[in-house]
Amino acid sequence: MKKTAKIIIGVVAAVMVVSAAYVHSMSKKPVVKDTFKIGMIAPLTGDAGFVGVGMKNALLMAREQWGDGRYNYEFVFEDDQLDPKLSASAAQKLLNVDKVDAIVTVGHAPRITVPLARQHDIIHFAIAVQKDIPDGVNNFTHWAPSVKLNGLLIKEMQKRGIKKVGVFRTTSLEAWVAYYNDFLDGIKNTDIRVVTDQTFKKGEKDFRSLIARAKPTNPDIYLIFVETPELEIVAKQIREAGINTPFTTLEGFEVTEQPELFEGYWYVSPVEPSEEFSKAYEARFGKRPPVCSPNAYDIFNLLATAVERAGSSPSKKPATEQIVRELKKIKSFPGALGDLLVSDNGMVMSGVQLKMIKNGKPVALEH
Amino acid sequence: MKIEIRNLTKRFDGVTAVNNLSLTLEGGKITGIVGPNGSGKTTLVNLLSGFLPIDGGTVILDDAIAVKKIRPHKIKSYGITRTFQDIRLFEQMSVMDNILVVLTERNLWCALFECHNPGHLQKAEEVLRMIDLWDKRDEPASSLSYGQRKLLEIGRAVSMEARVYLFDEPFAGLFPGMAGIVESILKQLRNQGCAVVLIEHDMDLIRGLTDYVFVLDSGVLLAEGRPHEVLRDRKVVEAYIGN
Amino acid sequence: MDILTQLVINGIIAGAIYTLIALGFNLIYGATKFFNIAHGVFAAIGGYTVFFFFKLSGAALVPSILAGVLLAGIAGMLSDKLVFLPLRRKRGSSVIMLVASLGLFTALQAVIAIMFSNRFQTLTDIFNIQKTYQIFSGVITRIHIVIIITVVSLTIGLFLMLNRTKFGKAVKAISDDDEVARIIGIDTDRVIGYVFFIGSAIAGLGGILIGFDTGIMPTMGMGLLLKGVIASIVGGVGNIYGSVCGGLLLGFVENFGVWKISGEWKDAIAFGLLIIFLLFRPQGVLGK
Ligand SMILES: Nc1ncnc2c1ncn2[C@@H]1O[C@H](COP(=O)(O)OP(=O)(O)OP(=O)(O)O)[C@@H](O)[C@H]1O
Ligand SMILES: [Mg+2]
Repeated sequence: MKKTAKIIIGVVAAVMVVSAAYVHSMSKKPVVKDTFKIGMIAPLTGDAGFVGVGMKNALLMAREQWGDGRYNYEFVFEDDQLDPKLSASAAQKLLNVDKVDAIVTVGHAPRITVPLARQHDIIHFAIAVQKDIPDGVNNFTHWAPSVKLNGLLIKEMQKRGIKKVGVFRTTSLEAWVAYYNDFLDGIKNTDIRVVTDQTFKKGEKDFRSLIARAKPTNPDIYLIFVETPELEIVAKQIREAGINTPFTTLEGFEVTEQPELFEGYWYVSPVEPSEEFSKAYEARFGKRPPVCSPNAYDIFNLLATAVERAGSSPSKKPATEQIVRELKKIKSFPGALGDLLVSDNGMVMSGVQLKMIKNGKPVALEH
Repeated sequence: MKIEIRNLTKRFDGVTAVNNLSLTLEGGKITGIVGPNGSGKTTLVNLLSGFLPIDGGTVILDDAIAVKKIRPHKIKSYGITRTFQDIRLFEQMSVMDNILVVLTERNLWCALFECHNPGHLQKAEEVLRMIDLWDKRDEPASSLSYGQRKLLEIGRAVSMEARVYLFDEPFAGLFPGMAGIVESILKQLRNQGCAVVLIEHDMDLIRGLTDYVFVLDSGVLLAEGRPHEVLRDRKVVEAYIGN
Repeated sequence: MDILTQLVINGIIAGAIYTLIALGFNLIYGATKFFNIAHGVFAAIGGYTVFFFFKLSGAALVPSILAGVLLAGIAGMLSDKLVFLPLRRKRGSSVIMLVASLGLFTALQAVIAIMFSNRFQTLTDIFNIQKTYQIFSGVITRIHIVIIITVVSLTIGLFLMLNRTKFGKAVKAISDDDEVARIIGIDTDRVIGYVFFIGSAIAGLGGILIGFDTGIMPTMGMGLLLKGVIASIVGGVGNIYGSVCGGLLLGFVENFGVWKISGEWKDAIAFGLLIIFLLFRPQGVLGK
């Protein structure tokens, strides 16, 4: 009897525990993951359209590879055609309509997005060279620093005995102005001199009179700070004026569709993306990854890492402040552009390298 | 040539400038149209030359074609031409070109590649000599005196070789010598069998030149008939004095 | 190299290019008395037609250029028949015509961009370096010589057409007084249609030549139009010879301007010239 009572109590207790557990599990709703929204402002059409498309592809690929994380990641892509007016309206739309948590920018958009990121307290990752854009609070950049690029450029000029530099540059794009100012700083204590500095607005197609002015100064090399198509038009018109001086630039020859114009000329550009990234990109999209795409890829991975580390519950994404704290703790991260470090002032720096157009293709030079 | 106007009406906001007007213009005659200022004389010419759209009524050409809508570039083919009370010349062109421009077949290929044939040049010379502007043929029209401009405009109308001529005050402001030229042109056109319409305020000219007169007042026909009789009519005299 | 000689040559080249646009613009303005903003887009139509036939489809050069000129002309004539003529019939004011032409410009430019993308394109295979020739102590490329010869022949051709042919007299008559032109039997609607054809075809040829010199973009029309309009106003709007004067003056002022001031001031110099003329000589160098 005692034994029977024990068994009955035991069974009843077991049933109660199981049913309690069952009821408890029934009452608990399935976990709903919160969504972290990332907006992108970049040119998706026009001359620079390939840049934005590459960034978009890289973001999508990074999310695929990230797989099932603690949060959902959603993208909103805006095309600004490299036009500051469109950049501004895109930023307003992302913040006020889509209510994104982070924005990735390039071109004119970084400068426009900086104050808005502060105002709306979101994270802004710019693929930009300007030193005053990152603040380590809301604004971050991921690019080879201008000082490093210019440092290598100047070193190579010295190595080759170049003393007189002729400059053709646009003043319409901030990045080129920033590059040029750093270049001037860099040559201060060297014997390199700028013998002629010809400036023009983006969209200019007739450089002949500027070339006529520059020609008598007989530079050893022409430094061209503008992107396609002005880059090619300047180069072509310099040749047509009967000048055979070599050209150099930062980044530019990388993306030209007219490499014949620059055959055999060296230049400095950010480090090549890792083989792993390039192969994955090419396998997925059938093309070599264009400029800025490895940056966008790294930006997603850095952001997602920080978001997931900062988050306490999958149902509630962390606040900007918490994400930023985690972001700045990252001091060694395997990225598409090498080992990455997030500095306290919000810069993610990647390396630089010397390159040359050989047989119409950019190849890395030893240095 | 004959133009029959039936119940022609033209309204501007508030004013009925031509009111249910019916009259007939005949070939081989100079028809005078008189009336006080604002009686609708110029408006009538504007309607007949397609310058203003017709609000009501019909225009019958040669007892055959009835038109309710006159398009300006069609009036040449109807054989109608006109001059303007306020002279309108092609100011940028030379005197000669002002005449030559009307002597043209409008076939594109001919027009693009063909220069004027000798017949045109001869006709232009004839007209310019008649209006005494042959010596000024290469000067721009804008450099002419008032009287010369008036004559050139009449010359341009004559070069059209039309069958109905609507002259809106062709004598106004002309010195007697030039008025004589105009007079002989009008008579010559009448003798060729054209219908010549003369709008004029000078009653002596009307008496001396016209074969038949219509008197308008406030857009309606007040009187019609041979000039000597009509101009003696009480109503007509009152209309002028009352104005 | 003597910089002055080169600047003179550059001024003539730039002036010739501006003249190419101003010629057709002035011809159309003369006949219709409105600022046809859409004029610039016909340059792009010419350029892209050659791009399509010559570069994409591999057709021969001369037929491609003919197609480009013809298509630009036809597009111009159609724009008159479908947009401007109905507005003229309704006695639309010149402001309405201006707005309509701006709309047409934007629409046609968008169509080109959709068909060919917004990218900068070259008409030649590569950015081929043109053969250059020495003139005194300056250099000039082959395409520039072609452009200058084209402008000179077009100007002479238009001069002869306007002054020697009956068609030219009709155009002048319309320009002077289109109502009177009508009653002396000129079918003004048709003549204006042909004027649009000729003016737009010239713009198309301009776009093609510019395409061979630098390259083409769907948005090339607005920049060209602005310079063409400045050239027209400076030279005397509606005046064919004014186009040449204004184009050359603008080309010289711009090129000599950047000699002393830096290159990004080029557009400012052009608009400065425009404002000076609007203030002190609105009828232009040659007047009307
Ligand atoms: N385009 C117009 N718009 C409005 N009213 C007009 C117009 N043309 C004429 N009128 C009016 O129509 C009436 C007739 O004018 P019209 O010019 O035909 O007179 P007219 O007989 O030629 O006078 P005049 O002897 O002074 O030349 C006038 O009251 C005039 O104000
Ligand atoms: Mg009158």
